[in-house]
Formats: sequence, structure tokens, C-alpha cells
Amino acid sequence: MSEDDNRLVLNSRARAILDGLPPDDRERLERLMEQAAAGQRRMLETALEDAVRMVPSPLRRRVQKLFLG
Amino acid sequence: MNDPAARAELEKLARILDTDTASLAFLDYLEAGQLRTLREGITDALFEKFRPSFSGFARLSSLLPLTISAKISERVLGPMLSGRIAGEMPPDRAIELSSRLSDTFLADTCLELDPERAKPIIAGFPVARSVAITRLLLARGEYITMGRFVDVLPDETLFAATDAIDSGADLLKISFFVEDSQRLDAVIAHLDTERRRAVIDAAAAEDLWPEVIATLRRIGPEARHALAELALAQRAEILDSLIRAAAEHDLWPSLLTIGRELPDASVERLADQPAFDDARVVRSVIDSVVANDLWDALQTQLPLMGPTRCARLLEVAATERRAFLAEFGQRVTAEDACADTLRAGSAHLAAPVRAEAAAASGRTTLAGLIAEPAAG
Repeated sequence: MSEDDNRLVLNSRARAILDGLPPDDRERLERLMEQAAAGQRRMLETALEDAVRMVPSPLRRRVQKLFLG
Repeated sequence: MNDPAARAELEKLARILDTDTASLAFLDYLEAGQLRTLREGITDALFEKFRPSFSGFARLSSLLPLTISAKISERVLGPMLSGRIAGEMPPDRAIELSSRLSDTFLADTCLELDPERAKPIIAGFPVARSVAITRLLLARGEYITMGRFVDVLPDETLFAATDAIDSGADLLKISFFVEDSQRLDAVIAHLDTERRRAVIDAAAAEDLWPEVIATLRRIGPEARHALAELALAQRAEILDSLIRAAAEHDLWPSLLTIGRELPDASVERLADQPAFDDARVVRSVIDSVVANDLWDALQTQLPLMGPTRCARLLEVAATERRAFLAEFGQRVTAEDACADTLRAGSAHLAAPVRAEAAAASGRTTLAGLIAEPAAG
């Protein structure tokens, strides 16, 4: 998974504040945002695997479809 | 960081980023409004990033019997994901599902829930259950979360939850994190005088004056008058703690602003407290006036402080803050309401101090007022 997968897209108001920070501070905050996104992504991936196991087997294919779109 | 509102925002931002406040200390120069905009932007971005997954889990829940959904929530998803998924569920279904979840799990989920997004669920949530969860959150000291829920709870639930909180200090700590000042007004209107007094006692006992002042600044004029007047009518040791907290945390900009709206007698009573004899307190007032451009407020309130306090101000300034007198001298005219107080105050000074104060004021009207004090 590339680092871009965890990059967050901020609204214009929040983006303006982020862009106005000194470069070091901006980088630190962006890193924390990416870490938060990465953490959430990991939790979702694990939860999906576990949830599929808990679903009664006739429903499993439907559940997988829900997440594959 | 002196601004309590900014401190509250940093704490909320840390929670969203799943980190601690110390890790965000590098942002402590941002104003509360900027931090709030950042926090709201990051919250939305994190939600939008994974919205398809949250929606998937929400749809999954509607396919399954409630017992299995509840098991998946508690055993697999955990509070953070459940909180975010709840915002994507039909409110009725989310409330139905919550009836199968433990109070402890729901309290944990509240920490992760975005109250704005979950507003329709919160609106229909049973009052008794909300009170039970309030008690759990309170026992854990989760003031941030509770403050955020005040913004969205319906009146009936909000007042029932408020009544479940006995401690004035707890109420104060929660109020610090409430974002919608109109909801704070509603809570204050709901409190009787005894409970309002408990809040003020708690401020003095637990050094929570910055929280009180931050709250006073944000609420509506009616609630502000009622609370501020009540605070200034308290016993001397409470007022003393307020003055010393104002000196320590530089609360003078807020206090002087609030003071302008209060009856003269309330301000006079505060100014009459012995703490204003303390040179450290007087220095803090002078430094705050200079740093925060509070000259107008000082000139307006000097007459209420009276000649004795005015004399102490001139004395400390003459010996330790001469630049203050030089600048004050540029601003005072003989027609100002404070001119008589300055002249009367100068009469209390020993001749050498008076001469020092006049000299520090330069060739100004102020120097004349000080050099020729009121007779008798």
C-alpha cells in the first residue's frame, strides 16, 4: 500500500490553515494525519475479515459484495 | 498556552488523531478557531476516506439479526468503528441495535462518535439510557466527550443528564468543551442558584477560574450577568482566588471586558479586595494592559477601582513599570472620567513616589494630574 492511500483530503478552510503552517509543523501534522488514517484502515481491514467469519455462511457472499461495491 | 479554548481544541484534535496532547504542543501558537477548523476538517476527511467501508458495515448490520449485529459490534468492530458506522445507519436501526449493547460499550462508543453526524440517533435515544451513560462517562472523567454531546442532546435529555451530575467542578469542566454557546445558556438557565454557586465554589477550590472565565466569555449576556454577578457577590476568599488566578493566567483581558457589562457595585467589590495591594497582582494588570491594548478598559474602570487602588497602581508603575506610565500619559486627558481618580489617587502617594510617577509620565496631562493631587 502506498503512502498516498493514507493521505487525507481536507476541506478548503482546513487546508488553508495547514498550508499556512511553517513547513516543519505542517509536515509533522500531515504525518500524524496519515498515521491516524493508517490506523483506521488497519482496524477496518481486520474487522471485515473477522465480521465475515461471524456471519452465517449463506450470507457471506452477499456480505463480501457489500464491501466490494 | 494561556487560552483555555485553544487548549480544549488541542485536546479534541489529539483525540481525533489518536495521539496525546503533548504530541500536538508544536501547534500551541494557533488560535482556538484555527484549531477547531483543522479538527473539523480532519474529522470529516477521516470519515470520508473510509465512508464506503462504514456504509458497507451499516448495510451489513441491516442484513443480520440484531443479536449477531450486536456481537459483531462488541467483539469485532469495537467502539471506534462502531461509532463511525453508527453515523451511516438509519437512526431507528442504530437505536434498536444499541438496546442490545452494554452501557459500557456504548460509553466507549460515545468517545468515538461524531455527535454532529449522529444527531438523528441522539435525538431519538432513550433518556434513561443517556443518563446511565452520562454517569459512566463522568466516572471516567470524559469531559471532552460530554461537552461535545451537550451541543446536540435534546433539552429533555440534556437537563436529565445535567441533574445526574452533582459536582459543580464536573459541570464546569464539561462546559469548557461545549461548542454551542446557546446550549450552555440553556444549561445555565436550568441550574438553580444553589447549583450555580456550587460551580463558583468549585472554581475557587480547584483553581478552575480560567474555565469559568472562558465560559463566561462565550455565553449570552443574560447568563453572563447572572453568573458574573453571583461570582462577584461571593465571600472574600473566593474573590481573592479569582484575582490571583487572573494574575497567574492573565485573565485580565476577559475580566476587564466582562467587567464593563456589570453593575458598578460588583466591580467595586472586586477592586476592594486586599489582593489588589499585592505588587505581583498590580504588575500583572499593568503588563496585561500593555500587552493586550486594554487602555480604554483601564480608563473606564479606574474610577470604579477608587483612589486607593489607583495609588497602588501608580506606585508600582513608578518603581517597576515606568514605560507603562509614559504610554498611559499619552492617552489620558483632563476630561477623561479617570482624571479625578488619578488626581485623588496621587494624593495617597508619598512625595518621592509621586515625583517619580510624574517624571515617568513625561510632559503629559497625566504628569500634571499626578504632580498636583487633589487636596485632602
